[in-house]
Amino acid sequence: MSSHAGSVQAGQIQRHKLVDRLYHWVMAVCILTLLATSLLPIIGWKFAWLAIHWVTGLVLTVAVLFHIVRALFFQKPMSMVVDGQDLQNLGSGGRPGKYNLAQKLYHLAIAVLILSGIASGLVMLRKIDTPWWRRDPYWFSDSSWGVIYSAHDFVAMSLVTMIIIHVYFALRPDEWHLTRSMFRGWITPKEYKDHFDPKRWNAEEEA
Amino acid sequence: MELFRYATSVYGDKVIIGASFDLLQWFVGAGVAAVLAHAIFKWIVPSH
Repeated sequence: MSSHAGSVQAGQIQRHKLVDRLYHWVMAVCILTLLATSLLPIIGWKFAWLAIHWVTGLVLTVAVLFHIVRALFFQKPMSMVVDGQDLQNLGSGGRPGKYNLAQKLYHLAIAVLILSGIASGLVMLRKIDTPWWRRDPYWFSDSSWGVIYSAHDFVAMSLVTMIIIHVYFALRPDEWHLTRSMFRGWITPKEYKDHFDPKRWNAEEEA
Repeated sequence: MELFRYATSVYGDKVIIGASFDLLQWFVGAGVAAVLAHAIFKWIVPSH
């Protein structure tokens, strides 16, 4: 249990610090904005989407860089890596650490998609005028640009699938303690006891 | 249904310009299918 700084009070267990919750929601707003500005014009809603799209992409890039540094050097990156115990728990029904197998696999998939989207998007910036450079469509051949654009497009459409799945799990009543923790930062001691293995996630130590 | 969008280059070649957005409905369908599959599984095996 923790009586930690921020919104977490005595009798509550901190799951996500404010900075991590802010990152999550900044990323969510960026992803939804990126998808809206790319997919709405395709389904017929025409508006000046390009500037909003690439500026939001740069905001997402900075946010993801921040998250990578924070996760690697200020958090426990191994808590998000699939390990043997996760696989054993599939059969035994054992409790997970801070993140269960499905969450780890989801994080892996979303990381691959978003990093691919950022990488292809940053290259695609070369084809538009920005305050810093003039467009240069001859950086790559037509076919190479086609591959880069295709990768970016497949990332966008895959993110739609991932968001549907993510929202579904966030809305499931048996997952509400996790959803609340992404808003408020905490879970109750009973939720900690019922859903997590304290040997694999020492919330007291982490706080 | 095409996987990619194509255009003709200045040299007359057919080149890929991106993924086909006709696929979007399939990506939406995949998400809905995953949700339904999990919901039905949890309904049948609630204690899992």
